[in-house]
Amino acid sequence: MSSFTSLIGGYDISKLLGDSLRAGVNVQSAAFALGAVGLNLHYGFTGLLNVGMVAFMAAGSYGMAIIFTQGLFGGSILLGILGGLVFATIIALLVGIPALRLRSDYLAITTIAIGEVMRISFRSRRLLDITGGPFGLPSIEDRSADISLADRIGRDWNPFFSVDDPTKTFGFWRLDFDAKTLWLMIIGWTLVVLCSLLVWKLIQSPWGRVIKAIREDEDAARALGKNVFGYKLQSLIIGGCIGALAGIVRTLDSGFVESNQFKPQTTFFIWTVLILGGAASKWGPMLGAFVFWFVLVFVEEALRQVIINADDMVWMGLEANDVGRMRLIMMGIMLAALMIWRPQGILGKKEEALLDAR
Amino acid sequence: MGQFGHVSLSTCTISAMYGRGRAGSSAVRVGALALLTLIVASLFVLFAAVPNAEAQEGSLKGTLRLGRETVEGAEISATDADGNDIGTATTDVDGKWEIPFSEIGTYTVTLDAASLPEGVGFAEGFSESVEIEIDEVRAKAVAFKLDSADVSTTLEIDPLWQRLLSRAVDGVKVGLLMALAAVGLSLIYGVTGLVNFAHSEMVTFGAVMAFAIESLWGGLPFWIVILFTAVVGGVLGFVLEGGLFGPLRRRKMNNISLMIVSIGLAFVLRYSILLFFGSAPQSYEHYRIQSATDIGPFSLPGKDYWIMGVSFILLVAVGLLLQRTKMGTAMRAVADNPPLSQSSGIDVDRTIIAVWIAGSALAAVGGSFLGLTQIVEWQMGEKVLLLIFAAVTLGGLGTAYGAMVGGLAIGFASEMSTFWLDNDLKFLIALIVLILILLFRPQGILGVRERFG
Repeated sequence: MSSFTSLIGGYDISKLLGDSLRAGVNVQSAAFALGAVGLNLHYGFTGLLNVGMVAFMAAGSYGMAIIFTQGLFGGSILLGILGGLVFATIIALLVGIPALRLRSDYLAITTIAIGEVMRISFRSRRLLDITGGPFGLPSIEDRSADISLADRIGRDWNPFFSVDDPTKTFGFWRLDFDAKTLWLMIIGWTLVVLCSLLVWKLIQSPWGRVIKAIREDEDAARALGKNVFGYKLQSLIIGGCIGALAGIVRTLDSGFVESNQFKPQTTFFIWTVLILGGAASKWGPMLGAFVFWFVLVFVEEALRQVIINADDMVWMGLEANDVGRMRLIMMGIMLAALMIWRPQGILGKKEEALLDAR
Repeated sequence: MGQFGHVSLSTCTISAMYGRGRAGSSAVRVGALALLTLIVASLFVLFAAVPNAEAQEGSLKGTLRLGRETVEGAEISATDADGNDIGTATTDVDGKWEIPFSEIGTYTVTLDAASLPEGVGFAEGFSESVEIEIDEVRAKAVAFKLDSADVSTTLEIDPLWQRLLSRAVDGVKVGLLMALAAVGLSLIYGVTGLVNFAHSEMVTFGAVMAFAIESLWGGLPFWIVILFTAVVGGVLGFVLEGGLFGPLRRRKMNNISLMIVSIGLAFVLRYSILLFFGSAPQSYEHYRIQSATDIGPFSLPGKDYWIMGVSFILLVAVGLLLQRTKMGTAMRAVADNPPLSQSSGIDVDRTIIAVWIAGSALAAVGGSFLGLTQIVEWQMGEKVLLLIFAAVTLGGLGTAYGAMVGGLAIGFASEMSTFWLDNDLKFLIALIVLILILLFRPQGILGVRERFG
């Protein structure tokens, strides 16, 4: 496709803007938006402190990948996805039943624990035949039917893919995507919109009013005869399943699963996305994901270009390979600063964003 | 040395008692002073007495077996983390081989498949190379799993009771370190209600600072290094409370928001450490390699005895501080009921600052000990975060003694579990304990029952 370059004093502005926009709309961003939609139901609407969203993503990804690679249920992708959701539900029950009866900080401790334990268990050599242990499942393929997940999604089921021209790209400038990425972007963002609407509908239903009441004052809701524990558990399961979808979208994109994809930092990326977009808002997670990835890549790329253009390729003591680390420091600052100065994010309402400790 | 140590030890007890007798106005200073004196004294006593480590080589070794038969003439080579060859060996008539090494680190041991007898290969899932992490110098067994008609692993095995004992001792050691790290987290939660996710980074910070101090001033006795580390850790606690969490709390920010801020802070700290320290694991100059010293049935590197001793003394000191000093009493009072203690004339803000300083200093010391027993790396705090949280919950959130008991229990249980389970799965034990305790005794072992939802 056409690409115009605009170099200003050694800085590639086109690449800077193009790559940032690209990151903002890419499948990865959609996956984080989905995770944030699930977290929005947990934290934004119910007030649950889930700091282990990555556990639900891992449940979705591994659940689907294992069912597909083991050829269970005929290696069906849709049943694999369903399996992933069931796995996420089990995780939600496992965490929720002990921790949801207690103060919210106990849920935080338990969720971060289960995320880490799942990651560590999946990479155990004892599960080598099932999860691939430390190697993960590098290509998710049905061993009996000899078809890979990436091929089925990216080729067989892809309306944009043509056998005549498999490398055809769509779009313009730095925003041209190959057929598989475009297809997954559409799937991903459609899921984001659908799940956002689903959560919004749920919140406007009588069920949702109880959920919000629990967020505002759990004891009052209990005094009105509501089964607070039950409602919280339902919220944890529904949000967890949306989180599992986030993991699934990411796995469909990358085409492999590996335990390192599920480090706790992923959860905190999702938290930043949610707080940035605005907790307890309808479109906050979606906007948050776009802005988050745009800003992250923009600053990272800008920093990289500054370093490349600096004398000896060192700028303020930073070298090119420090940039990836700066990204995570930046994310930490972003999360803390947002929480301090703008807890309602871009779209949220302040009075809804400030939960009190329970 | 021993004589001198004894004298110091009694001095430090006296200083703690003395703090108790002082007037209330300077309670903070006296309390802090008492704690500092205790740390100094106990460190001095113990580290002054440690003989400097003699560099002694360790070796990677094993016996190559196939069923009951031993395999002769197989070639085994080892490379260090940078890919340098450190040696090769050929198995002897009894299948034994040994490759000496001189530094702790990660080694890759490779068994040349071509040198194996006809028809013998590796069991599924096992490759010809085994990566092995040496964190203390002792003979380390390396296992290859071979596959043929009769399969077997090749571990050199001590008698069962000895292996159990050594696991148990390791468990006590890890437990004491977890307790050191957990006390601060629990106390901070107690006085402020904040679950501080950056606490694990304070542990890493301690280990890394100890490394930095040691490399800046080479030849400094290790007890001074640890002492500086405690001071720097205390300063970090002071800065975090005085510069971040204190002002935010006074802005009426609630604890959930503060917890999320602490998550952000954890990231900033962790990756700043990575930025400055680098990703390569390091180990301290001191006590890098020590031969095992036998005391009764125990056979440990000398440093392990001292680590356990100092940790234990520090924990006892914290207990004394909490029970016997004005400051300690104030800490317990604030943890129990902040508004009531405020109205009883306790300076809550100063108490909270003191808790942060003490908790952070303890975490830093715990971290430097952890670095001494294992390696110093930027992720070490993150790796024990789960254990610390489980320990605090097990003992009862907000209780100092609970955190100690919980730390010991979790450390012990997780280390013992490696006797039966894979090393990685010890975290599973922590999670199981966590879930069980939440189900059956959410207030923890030593917590007071309050109404839960």
